[in-house]
Amino acid sequence: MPAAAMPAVIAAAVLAGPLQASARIDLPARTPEQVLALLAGNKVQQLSGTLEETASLGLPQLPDLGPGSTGSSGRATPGGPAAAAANPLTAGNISQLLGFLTTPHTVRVYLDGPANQRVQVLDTLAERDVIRHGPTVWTYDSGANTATELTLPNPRRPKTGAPGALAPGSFEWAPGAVPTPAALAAEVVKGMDPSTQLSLGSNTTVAGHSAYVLQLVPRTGASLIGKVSIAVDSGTGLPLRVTVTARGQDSAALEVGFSKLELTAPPASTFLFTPPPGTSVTRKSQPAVPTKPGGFTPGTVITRPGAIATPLAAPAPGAPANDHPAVTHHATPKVATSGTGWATIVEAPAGTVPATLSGSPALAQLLQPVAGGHALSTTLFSVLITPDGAVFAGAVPLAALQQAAAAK
Amino acid sequence: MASELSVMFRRRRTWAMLAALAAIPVLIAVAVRVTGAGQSGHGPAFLDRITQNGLFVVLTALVLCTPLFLPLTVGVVAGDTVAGEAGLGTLRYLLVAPAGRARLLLVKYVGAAVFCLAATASVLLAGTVAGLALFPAGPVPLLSGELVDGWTAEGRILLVGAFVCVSLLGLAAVGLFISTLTDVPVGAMAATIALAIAAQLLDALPQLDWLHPWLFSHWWLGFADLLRQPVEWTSFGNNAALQLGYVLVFGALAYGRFATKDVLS
Repeated sequence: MPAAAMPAVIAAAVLAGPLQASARIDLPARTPEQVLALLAGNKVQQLSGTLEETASLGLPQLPDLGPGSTGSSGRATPGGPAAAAANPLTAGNISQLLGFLTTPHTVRVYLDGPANQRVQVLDTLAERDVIRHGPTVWTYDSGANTATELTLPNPRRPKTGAPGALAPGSFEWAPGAVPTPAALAAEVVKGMDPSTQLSLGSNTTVAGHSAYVLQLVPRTGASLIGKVSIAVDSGTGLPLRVTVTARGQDSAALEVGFSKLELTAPPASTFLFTPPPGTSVTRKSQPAVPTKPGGFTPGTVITRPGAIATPLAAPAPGAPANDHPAVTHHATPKVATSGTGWATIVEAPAGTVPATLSGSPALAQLLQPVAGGHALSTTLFSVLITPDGAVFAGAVPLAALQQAAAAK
Repeated sequence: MASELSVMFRRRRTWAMLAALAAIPVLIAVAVRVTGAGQSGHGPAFLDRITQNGLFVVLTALVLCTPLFLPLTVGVVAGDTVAGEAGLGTLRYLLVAPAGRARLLLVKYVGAAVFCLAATASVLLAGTVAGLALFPAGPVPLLSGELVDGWTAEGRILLVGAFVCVSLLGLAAVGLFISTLTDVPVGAMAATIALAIAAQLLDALPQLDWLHPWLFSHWWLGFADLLRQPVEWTSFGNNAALQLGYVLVFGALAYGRFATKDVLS
């Protein structure tokens, strides 16, 4: 479902910038399908690299509350990240989301097999880290001076998707909203269907690695997305950069890509973490029910605007759907879709957004009052929240969402 | 050259500025010592860490000094280079000597650069001394959360000092150029300082993000990248290249202006 792929697209678009290869890069000729297979066969398990992400979604640039906001949201939420994961739409998360949507980020990523990951978000005069070493996941926020230790039930949980082929995008524990090219590419490719026109652009170089450029263009004119480009490493199939361009625009609306990349194992010490003295440390272990906290980061929400409702739904412990407006957000909203392909509109029923939240200043900062509710309108996607708390989202113009809402 | 430096360092003004810069970390250290640690996440970066480790005094001081106090003092010195001599009426006597205008300009710029070094060093030195005198030393946590021992940390701080010093060279070149435009040293100083502030204002406007990498102040706070583990050298390199560009461009402009200028005073 391309709507679900949009997160990938958006994240990818963030970094893109200067992809124009000045010199022609000669690579063995391949068909788009072969490059797609190369991408799917990506088996990179070890890397150190620097990601740059930029977004130009037509939103006013708001101050990135980055450093500290992770910690503060964690502190503010009883139960910490697990509870925060249960409801991603906390004020802290929203401010992170805003930061992601409007300001560029530099992120260093280190990977050595599925059990060793480290992500460093480089903020000005501060840093947010997530370090996974075996069953232990540390998060550290130098601005707030807080750390969280999370112990996973299984040292090595099977990955969703292709086991063994861990894409470096699969940093499940990325702090805040840090989509990686691989995660985006996986989302985009997962949603490929006949409504997508596949082609190859001219070869390029990303962070010193020659790459094929896979271009995905929606055949429909109803989607806001004009094109998704994925730079695929010619040697390994690793997605190096994902660029999302809005329809009718030349420059990237969203791009995530490597500015530096080495496909070697980082030093083992990279994944060993001890919180420095003076840090306030929270410890918890993950509940046996394998929820997927990483999946609930604002990044997911952003990159998957259609999926805003699903994180809310996920933690519901088998509660039956409840139509009472006051409590429906604790139950599992039925997420329906309408439209097809890239123009899919995802709908979550009334009550998905708790009334307390829709009135919060953080959300008000993000949303604009429009006919039929409050809306977030960007160059790539739109989200409409109706007064009764239903959510409509998709990579379509706002008017299409309003139509869908009115048709209910 | 030696006489230029000795003239600069014999001036009471130079010492007053260096003392003022040195007073900033001392003030921070004393204030934190008297009032106790601030709440984490409030105030300038690193302020809340000072009670745990004295070396953070230096870093807090640099965070405060880099955007304002260091450019201020460098602006005074750089703006004074040529215009000061002209204002005193001594410029024409300097040019009577067969040294040539390019050489005079070079000596003046080197003098300003030495002041950049001295200014940074005075903050570093005063901060280290004050921090270690009032607070415990020991392993220092980096931004990434890793602990390094005190000597490694001091090495990192020296690197940060180098970064800050390099950051000021571009501004010094701009000041040198402005100084060749006028005979009024105060005007040149004020213009240089105003430019430093204007550059930082422009850097804060998201609408001008295409311009940001070209502003000499863009990387000023990038010294934090030297406090990560592993060290992120990109911003050091970018900053050095940018400052070098400013030195070359404004050095050339200053020479072009100064070589053809009628020196009447």
